[in-house]
Amino acid sequence: MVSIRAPKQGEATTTFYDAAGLESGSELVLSTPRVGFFTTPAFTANWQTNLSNSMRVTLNQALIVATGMQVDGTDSTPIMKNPPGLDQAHASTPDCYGCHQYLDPTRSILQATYSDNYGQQTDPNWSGQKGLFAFQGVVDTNISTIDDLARNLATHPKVASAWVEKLCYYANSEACTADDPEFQSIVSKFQASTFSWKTLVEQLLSSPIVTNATESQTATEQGEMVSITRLDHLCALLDSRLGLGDVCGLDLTKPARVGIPIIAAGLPSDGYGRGAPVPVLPTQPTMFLRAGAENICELVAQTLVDNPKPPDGAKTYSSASDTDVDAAVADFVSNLMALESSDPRASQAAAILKSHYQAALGDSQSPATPTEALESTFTVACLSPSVLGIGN
Amino acid sequence: MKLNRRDALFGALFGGTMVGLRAIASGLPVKMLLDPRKALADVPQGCQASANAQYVILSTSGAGDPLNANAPGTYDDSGISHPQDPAMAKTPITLGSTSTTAAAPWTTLGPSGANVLGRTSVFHLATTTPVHPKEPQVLSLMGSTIAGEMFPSVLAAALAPCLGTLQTQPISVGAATPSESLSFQGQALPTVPPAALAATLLNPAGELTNLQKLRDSTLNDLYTNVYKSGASPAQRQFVDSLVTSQDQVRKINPQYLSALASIQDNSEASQILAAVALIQMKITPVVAVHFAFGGDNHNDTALANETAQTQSGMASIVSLMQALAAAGLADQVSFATLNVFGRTMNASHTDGRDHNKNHHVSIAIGKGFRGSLVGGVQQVDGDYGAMPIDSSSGAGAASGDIQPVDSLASFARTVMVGVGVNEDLVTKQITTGTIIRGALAS
Repeated sequence: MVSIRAPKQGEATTTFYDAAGLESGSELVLSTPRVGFFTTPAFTANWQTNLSNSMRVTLNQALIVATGMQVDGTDSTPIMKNPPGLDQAHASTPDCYGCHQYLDPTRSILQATYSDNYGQQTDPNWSGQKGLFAFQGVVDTNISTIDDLARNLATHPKVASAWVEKLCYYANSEACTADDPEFQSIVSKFQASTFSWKTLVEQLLSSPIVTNATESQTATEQGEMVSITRLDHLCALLDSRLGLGDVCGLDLTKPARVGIPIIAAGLPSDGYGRGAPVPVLPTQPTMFLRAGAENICELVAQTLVDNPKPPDGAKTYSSASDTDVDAAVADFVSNLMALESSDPRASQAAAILKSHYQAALGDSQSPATPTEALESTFTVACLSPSVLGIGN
Repeated sequence: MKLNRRDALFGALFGGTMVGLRAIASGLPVKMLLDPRKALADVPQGCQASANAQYVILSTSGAGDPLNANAPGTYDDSGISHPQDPAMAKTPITLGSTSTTAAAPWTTLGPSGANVLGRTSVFHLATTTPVHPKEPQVLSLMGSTIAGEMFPSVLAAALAPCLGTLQTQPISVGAATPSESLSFQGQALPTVPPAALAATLLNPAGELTNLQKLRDSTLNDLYTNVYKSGASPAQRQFVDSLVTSQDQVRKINPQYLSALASIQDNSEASQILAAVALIQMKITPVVAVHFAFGGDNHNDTALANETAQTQSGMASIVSLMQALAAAGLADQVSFATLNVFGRTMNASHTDGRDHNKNHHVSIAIGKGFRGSLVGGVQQVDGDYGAMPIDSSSGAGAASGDIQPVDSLASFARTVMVGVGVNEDLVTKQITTGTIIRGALAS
């Protein structure tokens, strides 16, 4: 945990280029306030503003992250006429006023705090600008610092349902029905846990909304979605089930230029476009997913099968004896493919994989070595619908 | 109970399945989201294009680049602001029978560069939106396509059966943001970055590659006997899609894969290499790229960025034309551009430009197009907007039969015909607009 605070009188700010000091320290002394996700350099680099936009994109994207909603003309929150911060260029046109009456005053504190490049606001024309917070049933006229905006975002009544819905998109690749009693129960438990991420994950992923173990309003209304595993799913799956650290090189602080990370960059991924509360989620297999996954699986196989120097903590498989091969195949089925022994499909899957191993060894054109045969068997398991799909 | 407009709208958007919200976010109509296949069920199957069916490379940008601001026809009005850099000097250019002027980089489409002016049509349009997130809606022609399908997907569905491509769906290799990604029949399509193409499609030499055929056989066994047995319809459909994608991968012509190996990044040059290779491999009928022409240049001192990217953007088009010619594809591939909007142009815009819902410029280059300047600019709302268009000649005229609000759909209809799609299918797939004969080669 790192604490951020303003410098005291005469105190120097943290030296930004002291990488070692930054990594080892627990405090940052900054003149420019950084109070939450919406003031991080990563967020502001993604959602750049300008003189014309004047922090509206920043505010709208912050609202989307926090509440899953945006200023879109449907908000009926009562607000005074001509609120402080309203851009008069948009005040006289009813088409514009509907959104700007909320957007403009609510973004004012961003404009008063930050320059267009998200540094410290030093222009007195902007630093004293008044505003308020008005969005989806919440009105707060007591906004004088960026902390006040952060507090309104963090305590907004839409936060809990928004984050349950975001996790639904990740798990189901489609929305959950917000008025589903199961959904509302998860929202309540998430709130009661004072927004414990662990509680949210446990509650949602064990819910019939996701498992479909019993019928739910969401399943009835949304239908059954069987989706591909996108970038984040597949990489997390491989890391978790095979004990790999960051097989896809998703840690941007440790860029990888070769191997799996290059292929992974081409996998379908989740994305939020500007002004879009709903993510773009490719769900259907394509030839590029199939081809990329095969190359990834082959590389993982070569990393884990008969490798004298596997990565620390990784699962390893040996082709040294029939017993080893049987154990490997059993793990491919129960662990990688997640077909537990109680699943009637498990034994058949194991038989098919074992058959593949034997067939590879005895291939008439190009007989494989035991290592190659087991790598190929791993690759089959790795390309199965249990790995490349969610909901099979 | 009295239901006011706001309540009705709110209920429609957020009630039940949130399908209204999804529709807003994705740009797809509710009908498409609820049942995309049914919504498109009346689309004719089989080849619906002439023998001259073309592949299409479409450049699109959600940034709303100032491609419009220095295009042919914008130098005739002295009230329009242009960069003062000599590299953007007003220069004569001839599009078919029309002699006009444009920023100097445009002339690289002529004999000194790509030499495609004789088959280049420049369209002055209005997308009617100044909003960045409306990029998906603009790609869906602001509601003018049947079932809200995106224009690249309309093109792809019409052309794929004629071209015999491995997949029907278009591919974006250039989407810079999720807003620029494509959808097909209501399904979001992944963007395929050029830098990942080689590592994705190339198979390393070795025994594991030799065992592919055996693995495919084993996987088919798994699909049939483990995963489809007792599966739900959705699960079976998913497994079938895996089978299809596996078949498609094995049909890729390896002859052109080596071209991908030199791609190291996602630059415009790499997008060109990727697009040409994907077409050579007959993978898709439509490839989307992103050629920048200045981006979202609100703050652009002396329009320097606009100047630099007009040059680099035009250089990319020239490179693409030269690459297609070198590959023997000059008569098989057409190029077009469609961005979310153009930018403001009045004299005050010397250090940046704002969004312009009233004016945008698209380009179409290919065998099916005639050198032509379609439409023009006129003063609108204190700035500039597209003029009405005479559908017969393509000329901009106050008396034109195509109003600016219909110009986007008219452009799309014209492009569809220009790339060989039968006109009766064009009018079914794009429900408004008028084909602009003056832009077509014949």
